[in-house]
Amino acid sequence: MKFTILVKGVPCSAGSSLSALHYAQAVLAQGHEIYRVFFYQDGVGSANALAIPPQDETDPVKAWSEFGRTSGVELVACIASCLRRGILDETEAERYQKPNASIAQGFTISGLGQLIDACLESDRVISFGG
Amino acid sequence: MGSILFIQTARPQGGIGGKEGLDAVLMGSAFTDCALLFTGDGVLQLLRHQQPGSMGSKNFTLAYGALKDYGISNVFCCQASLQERGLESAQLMIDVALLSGDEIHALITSYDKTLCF
Repeated sequence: MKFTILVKGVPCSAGSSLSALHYAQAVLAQGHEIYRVFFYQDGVGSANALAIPPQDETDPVKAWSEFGRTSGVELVACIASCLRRGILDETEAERYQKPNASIAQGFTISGLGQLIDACLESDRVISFGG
Repeated sequence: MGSILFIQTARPQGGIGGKEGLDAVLMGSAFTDCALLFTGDGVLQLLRHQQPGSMGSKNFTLAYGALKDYGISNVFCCQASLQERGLESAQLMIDVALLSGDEIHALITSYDKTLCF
């Protein structure tokens, strides 16, 4: 079965980001496919490379980056949600004349159309948080 | 092509969940058959005469008047959520079909995907 995972919750204060990650790992472990992970609303916080959680806690940003790298699953963060919350890639940082980019490795910034496309292409869309 | 039901549950002010849900449904309408359901505090998004400008917010709910232009004609509202808040449909800015709990259940199962905001 083909899944899309939608992450809407902020990673630092809601458990939804790591729950979504564990779900995604389980989906692949069960032999299913993930079409895309889409980060929307406060969920784009999972793509913030500048967040520093305490050392004795799991770093959701790093964990997602690692998941994207090892699984090859596409991690897409909504551009409108990202801009509002200061998650920028090099292109956006330059466009808005901000001092630096802040998006974590393995994530790409794209439009909401990617969420709708994922809904239409997947058998199941599973939302976390929000 | 799959169909998508968007569910609005967020209050119109004090957060941008409603605005981000609206953005999603408008984007969805460009791709496929979409419907919109307001439930819980989400029904407050439909109230007429909102003036969030005094709080420094933009009145995104005005866009609901243009749903038909986006091809979104299936707009529903939870009757119980209205009643719980002492509201009636005459106070809403657009025509919506009022649904009971059972009808909402049937609505959700009739769409391929559901996105809740």
